[in-house]
Amino acid sequence: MSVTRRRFSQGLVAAPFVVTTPHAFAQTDRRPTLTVAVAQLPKVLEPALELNNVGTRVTYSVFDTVIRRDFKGSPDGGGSALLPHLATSWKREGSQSLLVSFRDDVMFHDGAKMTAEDVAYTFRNGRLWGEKAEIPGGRAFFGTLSEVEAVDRNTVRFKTRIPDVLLEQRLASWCSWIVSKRHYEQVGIEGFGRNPIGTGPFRFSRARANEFMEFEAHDAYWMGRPNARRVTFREVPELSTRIAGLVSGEFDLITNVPPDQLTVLQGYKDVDARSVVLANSHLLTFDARSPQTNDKRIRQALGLAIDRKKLVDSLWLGKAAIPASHNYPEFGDMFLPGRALSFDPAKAKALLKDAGYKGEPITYRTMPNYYTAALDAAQIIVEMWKAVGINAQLQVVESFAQMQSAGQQVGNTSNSTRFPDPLGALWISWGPNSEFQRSKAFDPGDAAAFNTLGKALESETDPAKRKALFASMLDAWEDACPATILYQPFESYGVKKKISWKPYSFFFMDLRPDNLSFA
Amino acid sequence: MTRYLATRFVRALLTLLLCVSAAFVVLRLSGDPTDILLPEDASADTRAEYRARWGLDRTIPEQYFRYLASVLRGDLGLSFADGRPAITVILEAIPNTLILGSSAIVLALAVGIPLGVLAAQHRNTTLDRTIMSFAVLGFSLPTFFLAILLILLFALTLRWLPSSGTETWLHLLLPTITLASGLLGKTARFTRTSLLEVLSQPYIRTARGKGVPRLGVLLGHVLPNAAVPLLMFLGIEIGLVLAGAVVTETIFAWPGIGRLLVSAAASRDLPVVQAAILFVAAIIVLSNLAVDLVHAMVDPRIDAFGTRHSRS
Repeated sequence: MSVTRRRFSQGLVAAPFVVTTPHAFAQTDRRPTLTVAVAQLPKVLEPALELNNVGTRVTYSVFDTVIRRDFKGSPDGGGSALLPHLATSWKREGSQSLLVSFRDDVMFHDGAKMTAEDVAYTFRNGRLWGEKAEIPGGRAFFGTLSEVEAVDRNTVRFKTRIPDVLLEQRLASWCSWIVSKRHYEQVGIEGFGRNPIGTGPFRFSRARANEFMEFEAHDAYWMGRPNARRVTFREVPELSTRIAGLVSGEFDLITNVPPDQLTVLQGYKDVDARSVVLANSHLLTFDARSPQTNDKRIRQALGLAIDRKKLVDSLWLGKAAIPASHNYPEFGDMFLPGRALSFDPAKAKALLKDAGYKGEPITYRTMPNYYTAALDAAQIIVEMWKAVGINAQLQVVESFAQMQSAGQQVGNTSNSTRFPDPLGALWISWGPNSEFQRSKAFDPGDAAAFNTLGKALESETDPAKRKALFASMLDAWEDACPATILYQPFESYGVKKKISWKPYSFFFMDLRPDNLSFA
Repeated sequence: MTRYLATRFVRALLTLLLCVSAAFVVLRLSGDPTDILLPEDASADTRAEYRARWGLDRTIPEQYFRYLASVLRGDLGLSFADGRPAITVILEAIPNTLILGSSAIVLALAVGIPLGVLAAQHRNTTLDRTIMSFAVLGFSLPTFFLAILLILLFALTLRWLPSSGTETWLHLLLPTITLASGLLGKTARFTRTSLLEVLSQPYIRTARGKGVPRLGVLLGHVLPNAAVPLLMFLGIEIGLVLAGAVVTETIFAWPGIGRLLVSAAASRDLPVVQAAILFVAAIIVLSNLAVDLVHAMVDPRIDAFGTRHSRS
């Protein structure tokens, strides 16, 4: 057949329809996709194994917790009220038992219905708690459990070894993501980590190590169809590449934007910089085993000589928060008003004089990049200490082991508010099971009063008494001064303006239909 | 020739053993992997359990000999991070590194050699100076700087090319240009120098005097003689390009060996780091071995024992 000019013209007109029609039929799902560029992808998707910023920002929308913490209930993304979620209701049966009723319409990603058996399996002895718990981070959250039993198809009873006033909070937070019993038993913990099945709005589709993880919408999600048909998390370690990709439209959302790049993002008209103060504080730790910091007056002086506002203004554009000690508004009724972290160089000098400090060198160790701006903060703090006569020497190290090895007097750490209660923050970080008490860096003599009060708080259920106990406990901690809080850092995201999405005070990225939509 | 080959092969194996041993010792002395891999508040019992599971509770010499025995059996251990065999993790990244590395090498040679020839043939002209200026710029610009410039221009401003990823051939362009730039510049400069050296030889004057055409002199006399040092240079450089794309792979989120090495080192995933170092060392050693062999084949002055004889 010869190609005439007429046939060629007809072909040109028909070609676009021929090419696009099958595609148009295939693309009946008109929901947009969401591409998130992250600095690092989790190695596995077993949600309780990756209890860090990298893991939870992905797994939070693949799995559901028993109860939902209403982060959105507060304008700062740190709301702490508890809402029904997989659980429709819960009631206390005495101080050591909680009966929880579950929804009947929750489907796993493989189409199976979620039952009480799956819940009991998730919290079974040997996974998150117990002698041989296979997930090392689980005990810190569910170490108080003694038994979890499925009462009927939609009801589960949780029993604890001791009265645990935080059990409902625990069921709304870290580690309480429900897994599919059938699938978990089939593939084991490692197989589950590579191919998870949960009940969340997005189901795992495929992944390539160090490159991307892709999730399809779980349209049978009990909260309604997700507003994106697919979510892809792409690993892009280089910040400038993430920003370029966001601006050019390759990515819809980027994470880990440092403070000094916010103005860059704000320069683009279709991009938003969204920030949130984290439920986490950066601290300096003082090692009481060392003669230079064995005297609590010297430790107190170190804390009093730090001008936190100057640090926040110069390193965090004034956007990081200076908390009211280890005492946070999300504690709700347990929050102690009127507290503050003092900057008092005159008092610091007086304490140093009382303690007989004669300029002995105090070694301050920090890792350069583990905590954002840690090294810059350290350099400024050393100068602040010099101003009151403290002879601090900065050492940059590569690991926590190096930081905590002999010869250190000051180091850095961070404390998260895992549950909105002092027991979920101050007590977890500084109580008898904490690394600082086990290593005796928090001197046992200095810790005694704090421990007595904390143990009383653990088993106290009366709100007024709990609050009084917390006030005394915080006094004891501040007096012993095993550490001092610097500030609460903030985390920033770059987001296309067309996307309605709100960050939370945890690293969780909530992509449920009520927190992710497109203009 | 067999003895020459055997000597080179044994030397290559010894070099590999040295690299693997050095990496093993340095990694063991660089901190406890449980610091990074377990939660900050993991108990001492949990840490001890994991150290035992990964064999880190044994003495370093014991760990070392067990590791060597495993490597000889082809077992590079299991990743601490996700439990998969380290060899599987490495094999996923190798194709990406080979694709990026080979595209960069092809580009560098395809552009660098002709530019070097052109510069040599127009020695001390504006063309020569222009080409050499670009060549110097190519290998003196830091990789990260060039990469970010390319991203700013082609991805951010012009929006012609993607800034990261591996989905299409377009994703390959910017990392290829970045990785090739150094080798391209060095190749052009080295080619020019080699050619100028050969062009000043008496046999070239003789060939011209005999009336051999300009192109005939170039193809028949200049290039074959200039190729020997160029091959030596390229053999070493090609190994470095294939093995050393760490910065380029990180900036362009290209999931090759370089990026795997960085991420595994940061998370103290020792088996994966060791496997990656073994691969990188093997590439360098093999490319050097290949250079030795090719050199022996193309240079008649090298005899079967690898000894170089100069003309009397």
